[in-house]
Amino acid sequence: MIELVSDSRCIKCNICVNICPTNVFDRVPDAPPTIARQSDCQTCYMCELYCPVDALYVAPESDMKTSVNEAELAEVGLLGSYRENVGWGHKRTSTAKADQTFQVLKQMK
Amino acid sequence: MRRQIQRAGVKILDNSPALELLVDDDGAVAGASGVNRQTGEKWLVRSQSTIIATGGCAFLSKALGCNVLTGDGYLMAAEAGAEMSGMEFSNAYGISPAFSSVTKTLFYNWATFTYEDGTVIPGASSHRRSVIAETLLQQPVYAIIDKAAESMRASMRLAQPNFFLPFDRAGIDPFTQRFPVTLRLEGTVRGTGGIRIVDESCASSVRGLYAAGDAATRELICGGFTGGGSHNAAWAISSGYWSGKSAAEYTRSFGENKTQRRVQGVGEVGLQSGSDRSQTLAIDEVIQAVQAEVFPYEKNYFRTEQGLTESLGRLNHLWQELRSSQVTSEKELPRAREAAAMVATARWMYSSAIERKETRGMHRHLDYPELDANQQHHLISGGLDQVWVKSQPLHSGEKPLSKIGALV
Repeated sequence: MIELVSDSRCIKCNICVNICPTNVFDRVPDAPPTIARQSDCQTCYMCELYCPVDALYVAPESDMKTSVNEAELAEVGLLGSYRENVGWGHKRTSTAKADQTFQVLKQMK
Repeated sequence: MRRQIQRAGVKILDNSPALELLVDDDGAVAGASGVNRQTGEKWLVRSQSTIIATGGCAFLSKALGCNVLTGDGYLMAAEAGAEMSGMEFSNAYGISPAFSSVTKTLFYNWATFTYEDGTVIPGASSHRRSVIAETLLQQPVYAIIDKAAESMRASMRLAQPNFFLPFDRAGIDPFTQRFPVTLRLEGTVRGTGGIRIVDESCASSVRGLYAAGDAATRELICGGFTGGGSHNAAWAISSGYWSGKSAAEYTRSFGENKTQRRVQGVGEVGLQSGSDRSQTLAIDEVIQAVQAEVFPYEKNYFRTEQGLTESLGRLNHLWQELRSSQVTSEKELPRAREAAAMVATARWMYSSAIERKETRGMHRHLDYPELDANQQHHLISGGLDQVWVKSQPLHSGEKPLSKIGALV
């Protein structure tokens, strides 16, 4: 579930508010969006993919809340890790072009 | 895709679920209306043709990306008189780590499934998922992706980065460490039932109404079973193309008299208020109650005549409850309609499942464990207060439903 909107990183672009398929966030004038309906989060990680500044963190647990520590997440490189893995963002190349599914399927019995 | 349609001049209403269809005096579908769930602003679009592309129904199971798929389109279509087909093929379950939403199952081809103590579960595999379901009824099931050769692992990460996301975040190496798994209901998303389409135009049985993607039945390409991914993606694109083309041609046939028709909304449950609707709708309770009928493996994965009948009794009761209730605020409308759609979907599912007295595709009936060559027909269903099911012979040239796809 979504656990973090980083105050220090957020640029208040509200892209996450628009992109979230289940309408979890509320926009707030002159402030970062709030996580208004956390239990509606379907843990799809879409908001993270679209966040241009890696200010969001979706914890892997989909059915229960967890507590997270922003400094620790940043330290181990988990803030924005999904966006990095798929190659989205400034000066990155989408890894869609490096898709290796055909190699994997060749190994199927 | 989004950019392309915007360039073509299409206006996209984001965060704006449709709540009901509009119908003209002759019963033809003539548009839709809904609400922006962020601003509360209502919208209404009048049109000559309408395509339902709202996906299937996974009952808010949190299977990856599935919580936007609550069967709303089925409900709206049925209120306009459309029929469903193959709703018994509606019990697809995806494997995911127990703690996670990620129901991507391809890599479980290289998994070993074990009990908690590490002993291998005899017969359990991604293709024999029923053994996993049976075991989960008694005790936890663990998996480890240990059959993937070292040389494959980099390719796997590049192929499906999101498969690894929950593991990386939970500090688990799925290739070397066992992790608990579960089966999450994907309903008709990876099932094959949906709105009946009458021919390759993707038209429903109601004039002016078409269906595309997972909202439409996929029996015509997959029979009673689909592995998901590739079939459904191919179907989404091809049925989207066909329905769009047919809908455009139909619209063109109206000529000048396009906007002369009188239209009215036909949505009922959750939308209408009145003196006979005295109760306040307890939406979350309704959702939990329908989930309690469709999630459990002993009810939906392994179906029995008695279990289906008992579930239907409770689901019919829920429908009556929805019927006699109203929402307390307009803000609740989209959620109320989702709840109503899920109850309606479950009733078509189980009513159809009772009528298919055999085991075929994903429909596994414990009282009738064999495939029956005499039941090579479609089951068409529909109705709201009174649900009905009828059988319809295959079109000539159509492959028997069982020949395509396997039992899992």
